[in-house]
Amino acid sequence: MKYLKYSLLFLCITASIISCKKSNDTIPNNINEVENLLLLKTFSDNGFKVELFNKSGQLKVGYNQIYIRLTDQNGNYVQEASLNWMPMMTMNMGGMIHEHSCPFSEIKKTQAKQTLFEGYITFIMASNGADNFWNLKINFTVNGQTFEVTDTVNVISTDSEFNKAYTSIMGNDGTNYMLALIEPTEPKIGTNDIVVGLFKMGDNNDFPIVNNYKIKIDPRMPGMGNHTAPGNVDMTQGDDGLYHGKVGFSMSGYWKINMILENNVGTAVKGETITELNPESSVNFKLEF
Amino acid sequence: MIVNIQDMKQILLILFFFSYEISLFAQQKKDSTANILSDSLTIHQLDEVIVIGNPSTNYLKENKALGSLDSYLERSKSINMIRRGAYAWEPMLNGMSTERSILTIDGMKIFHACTDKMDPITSYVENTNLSLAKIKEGQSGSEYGGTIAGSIDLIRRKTGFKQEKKLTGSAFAGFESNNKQQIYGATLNYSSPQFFTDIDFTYRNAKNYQSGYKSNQSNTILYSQFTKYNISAITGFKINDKQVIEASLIYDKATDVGYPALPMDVSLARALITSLQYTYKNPLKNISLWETKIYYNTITHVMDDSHRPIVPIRMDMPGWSKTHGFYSTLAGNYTIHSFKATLSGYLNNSLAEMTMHPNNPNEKDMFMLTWPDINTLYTGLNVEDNISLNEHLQLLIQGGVGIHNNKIESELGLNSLRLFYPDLTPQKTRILKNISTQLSYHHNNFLYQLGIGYGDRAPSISEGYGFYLLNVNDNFDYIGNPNLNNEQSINVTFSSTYNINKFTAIAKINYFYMIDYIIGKPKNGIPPMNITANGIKIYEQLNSASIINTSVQFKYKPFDYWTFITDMSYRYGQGAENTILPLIQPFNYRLEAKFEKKSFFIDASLNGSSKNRNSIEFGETQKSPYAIANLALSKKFNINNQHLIVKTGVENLFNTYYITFDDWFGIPSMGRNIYVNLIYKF
Repeated sequence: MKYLKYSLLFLCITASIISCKKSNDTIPNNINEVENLLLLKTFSDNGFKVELFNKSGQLKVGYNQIYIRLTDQNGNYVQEASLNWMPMMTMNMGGMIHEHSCPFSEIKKTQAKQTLFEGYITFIMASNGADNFWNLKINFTVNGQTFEVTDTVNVISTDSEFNKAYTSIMGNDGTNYMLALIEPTEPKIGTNDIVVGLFKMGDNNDFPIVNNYKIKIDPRMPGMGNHTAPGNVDMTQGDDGLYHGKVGFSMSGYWKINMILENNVGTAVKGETITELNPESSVNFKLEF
Repeated sequence: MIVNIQDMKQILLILFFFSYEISLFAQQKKDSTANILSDSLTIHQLDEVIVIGNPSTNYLKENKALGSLDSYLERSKSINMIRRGAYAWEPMLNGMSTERSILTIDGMKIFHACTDKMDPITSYVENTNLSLAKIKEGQSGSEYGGTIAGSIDLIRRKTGFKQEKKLTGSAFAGFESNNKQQIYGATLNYSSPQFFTDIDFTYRNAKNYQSGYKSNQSNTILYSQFTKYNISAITGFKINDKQVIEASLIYDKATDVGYPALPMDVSLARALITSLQYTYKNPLKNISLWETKIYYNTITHVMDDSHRPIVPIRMDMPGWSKTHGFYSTLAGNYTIHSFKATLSGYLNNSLAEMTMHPNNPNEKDMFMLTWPDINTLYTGLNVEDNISLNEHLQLLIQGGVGIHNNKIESELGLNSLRLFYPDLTPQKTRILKNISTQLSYHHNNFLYQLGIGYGDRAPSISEGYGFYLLNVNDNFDYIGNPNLNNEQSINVTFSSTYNINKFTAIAKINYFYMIDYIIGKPKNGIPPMNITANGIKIYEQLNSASIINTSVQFKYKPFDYWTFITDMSYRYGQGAENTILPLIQPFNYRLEAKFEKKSFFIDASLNGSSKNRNSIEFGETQKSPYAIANLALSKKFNINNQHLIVKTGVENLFNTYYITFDDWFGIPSMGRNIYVNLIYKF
């Protein structure tokens, strides 16, 4: 009886040690680092699973911050891997197939997360039926082995009468520029941080970040006599390559953020000053809150 | 007569001396010749007092007993009324609008809830609620907080305790032809040795008023209608011979109020004003009175433009103001001193918002806070001592200090203002102080009074924290400035009264020299919010500004029953940077003849004004001189112990078209108005 007691105690201790050890081994599978994120898409290859997340659960025209989680053949989340991706739009224009990509970042490990990687893609048009679709190809290397997954992703348009978070323009220097509104995602009354990604159509079908430009801003309320608020700071490029500034909203409602794009020598390449006769700039975003 | 001047106060003496009170403080007074005559050995300190007609007082001498409170206040030489329509006029004291004066009801602080000043607190009471308006000028009005211009305290009507149990009452009805105003009401008063209660109800309904005749111009002033309901109750209970408890309640509700001088109207202006008061008479030797009151009032003000056919954009601008407060006053006498000390405090919350409905129905409503949910906490102590130096000479010294704290409660409001002031912190604390002294010299038929005072005030909510508040007069959007310094004032008053049997002459001059005078100045480069506005003005401070107020009055009673009165007044206001101060009264006069015999009373008057010195910077135009004739008749009928008073009269007898300097946005004043008042008392 006494022996049985000791045996049981021993078993318990062993069990607890084993279970501890086991849980140590599988930490990635037990921690959920995608709280507050929504699943966009799952890719599978050779037993690997690639999951894409973001905050809205949708990919849309403009800037998309995307989080990636890799699961290996054993069902464990991968902590160390190198990834890259390539979004590609296929357009069938009456039998003529045309392909192009869009601006996107590298993929890097998310700071302070064990199982997440992140990057952004600025989609420049929406998916449209079977003839115009986006493919996303992701390469990833885990433990020296490289894998590739490809699938279509659906990109929706969010342009509406009162919303516009992406715009492409032809500058008077002959360059095609793309601007994507990144922040504010939750605009508020007062001074907001504004972040914009500025890209251009490169020579090699690429879409590099444009460096050392300046984006002047003038937020206006078209429904309120083109009222504007103070507190604006023109956007300049930050260390992250994106353009940072401040935008002031004196009230909630529909705002048009008018912009003038100036190149690295201070010459305007696109956009107009707002006057009574000219209520908007040809470079603008729209938002409503 | 227009302004009844009464002996208001006995002499007061100091209880505490603050180390930081260097000198003290003056109580400027109006002069009561009657008083001088009747009591030539004691000079009483006199505030200006306006008796407000109500069924408990003698109506006979009031031309238009059922006129609005505004029409009573307007009779003071110290007060002008800014008119934005037929309702809720804003009282200006000594040429200064309400942010520079202290308005109280029985010592209670109440703050208006409208960002456009459509609801001065005088609009939330009725004549039937009140017996007097006590006006103190300059720093003598600092008892309940910092002021520049002075104070107006509206005193509640109450029957009080009576030896015999008695129930009295009245019913009244009035009609005014010009705006088809109907006035109905009743009062009921019960008094006994231990208990009293007074209840009253008043209803007013008016249509659009008509201006005087002007060719080729419609004389109907659209959007000048109003409806007002007011009910009040006050009751007192005597605990013992020395101690009394009183409770008071006023509920006032105005609906469908038009403001022809503004682009918006008011669908609801509602106030609930409550208080509880404890009075202890003669608690100690040398202490004659200890009075303590706690109070609460809440105001809801709903402004919108739903009745206006054409607007650039539809707007709703509701506002709310809630105030909790208290005061405790100790008064007494010691040898040649009469003293009084008042500790008072309040916590006010002011919130106003604006919702704009875009013309595009798919677009979201726009919303902003125009007052950022702001708390004002004030605590202050004020003391005064009235010293009878000898039978001719009397010295009043007065002083006080208060702590004033503003705190923005709303994150949204704070962020809004940070657009203009990025480093703005939610809280700001100020120390307010005032000090003054006044010397009165009485000899034979003369009374001279000289007062000097210094004091400061905190900016008002709009001046400190307003957000895009449109002023239609100069058509600028105003932005508050939380970094303003206190506005300071040094003021000097001199008055002289001469009286012999049938003749009285009073002359008075006061001079306010203000430092860091708060006023809106245009700010280039920041566009306005309101679609029609010319630009933005931000409250700034002029190094200095001066206002001079002068008045003279002559009263002559050549024969029995007859009285002739002439009075004249003039103000002048000038600030640094070539700023002509707005809303300054030009030369104004009144000639009046009265005949009074037993129960019959007749009054003919002529009042007029010269052209004004208009401030173009603040959108003022020059108004033409005018003169208006008025006629009034009263007759009282007595049947046993019941009385019927019939009053009738004509205002603006010749239907003259005129605009006064304080008619907001140049809206013409009322044309000919025939009125009838019937008052039945038992």
